[in-house]
Amino acid sequence: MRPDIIRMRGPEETVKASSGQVVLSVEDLWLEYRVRRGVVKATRGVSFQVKKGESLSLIGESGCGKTTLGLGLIRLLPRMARVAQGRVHYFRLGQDYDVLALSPNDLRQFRWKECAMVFQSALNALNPVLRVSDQFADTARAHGGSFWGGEAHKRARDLLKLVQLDPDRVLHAYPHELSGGMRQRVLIAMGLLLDPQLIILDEPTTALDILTQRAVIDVLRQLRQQLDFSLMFISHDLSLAAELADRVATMYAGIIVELGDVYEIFEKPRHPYTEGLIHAVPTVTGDLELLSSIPGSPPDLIEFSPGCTFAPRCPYAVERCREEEPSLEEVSPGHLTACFNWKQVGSQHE
Amino acid sequence: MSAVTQPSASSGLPLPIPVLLRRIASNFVLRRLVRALITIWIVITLTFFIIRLMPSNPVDIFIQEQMSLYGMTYDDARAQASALFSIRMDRPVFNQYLDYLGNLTHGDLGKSFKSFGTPVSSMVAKFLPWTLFSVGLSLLISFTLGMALGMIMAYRRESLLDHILSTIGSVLSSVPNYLVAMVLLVFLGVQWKLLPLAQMRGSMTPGIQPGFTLEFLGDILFHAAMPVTTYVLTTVGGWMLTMKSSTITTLEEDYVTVARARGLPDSRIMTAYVGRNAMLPLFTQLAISVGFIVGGSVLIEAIFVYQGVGKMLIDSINQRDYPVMQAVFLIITIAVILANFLADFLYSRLDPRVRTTGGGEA
Amino acid sequence: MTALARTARNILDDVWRTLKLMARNKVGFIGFLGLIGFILLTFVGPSLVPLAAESHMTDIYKPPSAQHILGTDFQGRDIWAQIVHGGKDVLIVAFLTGIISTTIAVTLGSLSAVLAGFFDSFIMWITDIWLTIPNFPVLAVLAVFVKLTNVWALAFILSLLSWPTLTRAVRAQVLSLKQRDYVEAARALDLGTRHIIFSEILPNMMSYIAISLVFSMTSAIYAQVALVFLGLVPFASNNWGVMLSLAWTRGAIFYKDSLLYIMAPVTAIALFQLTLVWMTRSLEEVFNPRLRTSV
Repeated sequence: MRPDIIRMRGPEETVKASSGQVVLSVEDLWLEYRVRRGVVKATRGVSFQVKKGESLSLIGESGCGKTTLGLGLIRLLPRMARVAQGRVHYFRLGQDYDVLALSPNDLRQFRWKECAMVFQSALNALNPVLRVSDQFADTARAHGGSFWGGEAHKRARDLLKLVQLDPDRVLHAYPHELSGGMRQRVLIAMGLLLDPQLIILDEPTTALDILTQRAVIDVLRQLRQQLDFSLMFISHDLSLAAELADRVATMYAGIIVELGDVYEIFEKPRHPYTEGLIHAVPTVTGDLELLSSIPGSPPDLIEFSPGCTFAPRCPYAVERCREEEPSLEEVSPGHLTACFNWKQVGSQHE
Repeated sequence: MSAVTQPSASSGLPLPIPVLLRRIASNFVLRRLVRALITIWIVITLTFFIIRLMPSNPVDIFIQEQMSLYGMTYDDARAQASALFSIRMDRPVFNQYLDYLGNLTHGDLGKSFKSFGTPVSSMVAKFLPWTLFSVGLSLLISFTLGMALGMIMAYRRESLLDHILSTIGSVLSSVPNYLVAMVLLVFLGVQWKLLPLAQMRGSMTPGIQPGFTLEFLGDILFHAAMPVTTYVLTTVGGWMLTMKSSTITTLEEDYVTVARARGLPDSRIMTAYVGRNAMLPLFTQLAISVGFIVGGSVLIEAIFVYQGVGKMLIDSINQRDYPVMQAVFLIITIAVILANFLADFLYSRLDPRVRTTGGGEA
Repeated sequence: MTALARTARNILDDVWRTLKLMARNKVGFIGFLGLIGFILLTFVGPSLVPLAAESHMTDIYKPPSAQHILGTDFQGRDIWAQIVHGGKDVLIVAFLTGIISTTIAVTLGSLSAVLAGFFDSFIMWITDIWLTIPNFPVLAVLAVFVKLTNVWALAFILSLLSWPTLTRAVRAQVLSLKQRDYVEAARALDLGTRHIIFSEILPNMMSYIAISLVFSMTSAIYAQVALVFLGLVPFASNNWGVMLSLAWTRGAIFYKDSLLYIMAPVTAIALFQLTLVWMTRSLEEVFNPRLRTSV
């Protein structure tokens, strides 16, 4: 049974065909924070790939390590965090770049020009004392280009039109003269200014009201149709994945617990957590009896008990789950899950 | 906003009054200007009435003195007073007030008691530029230095430099400025004989031609060095510490993180993103600093024998030269009020968010 | 234990606890000790150190010796003795000014915040005007017209300087506290304005009030020493400001040998200001009720 939320996609919108080329490859990434109590392991051996032109969504509760992961990919971690181990590789025109080993100058060029990360709550993401046009100019000039009267300027105007904003009004304005939704869209347009291969969106709709959310989602969909970039977005909102993603990865307690094609994930989830997430989302037409929440609370990321981290909250847990931690394994082509009982997943909600 | 441009029939102003008032209320700069002008008017009025209403009223004292010392009649003495104050003393108080206001608009500040009727305005014209020069220069140096050091302290938080500068800053700003002046005099001038004190007195060496020559500029800087050093030393600490905490807060703002994610160079982030935002809270301190330095100039100029209006005020107080006292007090106060307005204006240029109340929301 | 002994014991406990709270902040504790030191020096010292009133013209500007710890002044009198005797007036005026201006500020500030409306606007209008006028020239001019013969008059005039700033600060604090829950509760219970101010809001502002009091003391010291130095206050007795004034008029600044005569009061005043400022760092610990473990 295909859940209602996925039905919102029209029949003509299929998964965007990807050329299969890898743009970003993350292998066994461990990111940790030093706090007073100990060391918080924000990610524990995360591995995935983003292919050219595809849209990958990373879904998880707050505190599961997803924002840290995003920051780690562009090496913007705060002072008390660090990369404990792992590899992050970026590919462009056949060249392989080790992101974690980039020199400060190369890193600066990599950021935004190759990979642009657009943060949540764009309310304070723009410098309050500079006009929007100056901030676009800063961005262009930082990467070796000029802005005023040139190509970048024209591209900025086109992008602003694409995100449903009036370039004349917006470029001349100061950030405080624009609403929250407008600022978010400006930031998205700015993200596309330098034509990056990969855009990472961190909680693109969280701080917005529902009407603006709809506007931003529609804009993102349009952009994907018209421009060519790979998209990775991080959210706790599964319905966003249903609308925008080609592939979905769910994250729990610092690891990816399931990864697969969006339709497969929604029709036949292979991890209890994913299943729980799907059935916790209310829909307008759905029955209330089908709604359930996941009991319990997220685990402590400093001290880990043995076994699967989801076991305490899992309806399918058996003895083995409390002793061994399952690793991410392929159970059908392109579909991976980290669960010993993946075959039973779905039986609770038939 | 409506685009009413025809003159209003009744008032003859370019806009009808309600619209004009609303325009003023909604524009930050105009609001502050109106406030400054009203404050100036209040100060002028209060000065006039308080001096008149004091028990030891200078006008009466003068009249008594003239009568007892020179045997003048009451009417003659009063006429003398009228001439010196440029106000007709035989009229009722309210009319005297109007005279006073009228004089001010013509720049007539009365005549000095002690200097045989010299117009006060000419004395002010001679002394005021020096105070403006020394105070203005000090503010500029102190503000810039404080901003720079404060930012360095924030970027190098908890380092040895930070701790040293913090301690120096807080100690210097707690010690009264006239004491710092004395210490400078005593140690630099007398004990260690590093500076030629006798030559540094006064605001310029007599005989040198004023003008934009290197010789003249060098000379006035030489003479202003001690007062300026004192002002700077006693105010830089406050700027430093405020800028440090402001910068620390700004560094944690989202737009700084986003700026780094955008690949902007550190130099640009430090100036246009961190610096320009962190310096904004300093402008509220500017108002206090101006009042503080100008107030302190009364003492500092006396100690260094620098011929500015501060020294003029002290001399006039000691000599009981009332027209001068009143005029200098007014000048000092008006200068500070105008300086504060200037600071407000600068602030509105630097922070676009205050320019109008209620920005346009989409 | 008798009731009297128990009360004494309680008072000692309170004092000990206050001291321990003060000691939490090193700089603040040093300031506190400094303040105690100055109080002892200036109030108790005079009875231990005699003040020589006669002049010994043979002993002018002598360097420090066993007989004169800080040497002698332009009339051959001992400097140390003058320092010991000269602080009392300064401290008394400072304390008085602090108390007067803080009382005015707390009353006006909290009333202004609680009553709001026209009263609030009026008070704010006055303080606004006051803040834009440079304070010391006003004081200097006032001193010409008002006879400042005793400490109370001086303290009163000085408190005119600092009450506006304090009032604004108190008002801001009260406004922020006004929104808190326990005030809403008191209002819902209709406990009356006076109760709200004195029993709900003020206790939570004690640390703030204490710090404001100390700062008004520092500005009082600045102003009174400056006035005395300029000769605008007809003080007959000897105090640090008078020492400065005499040193200046006698040209003591320009002699090599009279260094101590000018530096002694300068150091005393500067050190006192520093100890006050440092002490404010501890005041928050002492007065913040949330840090107290028992009621």
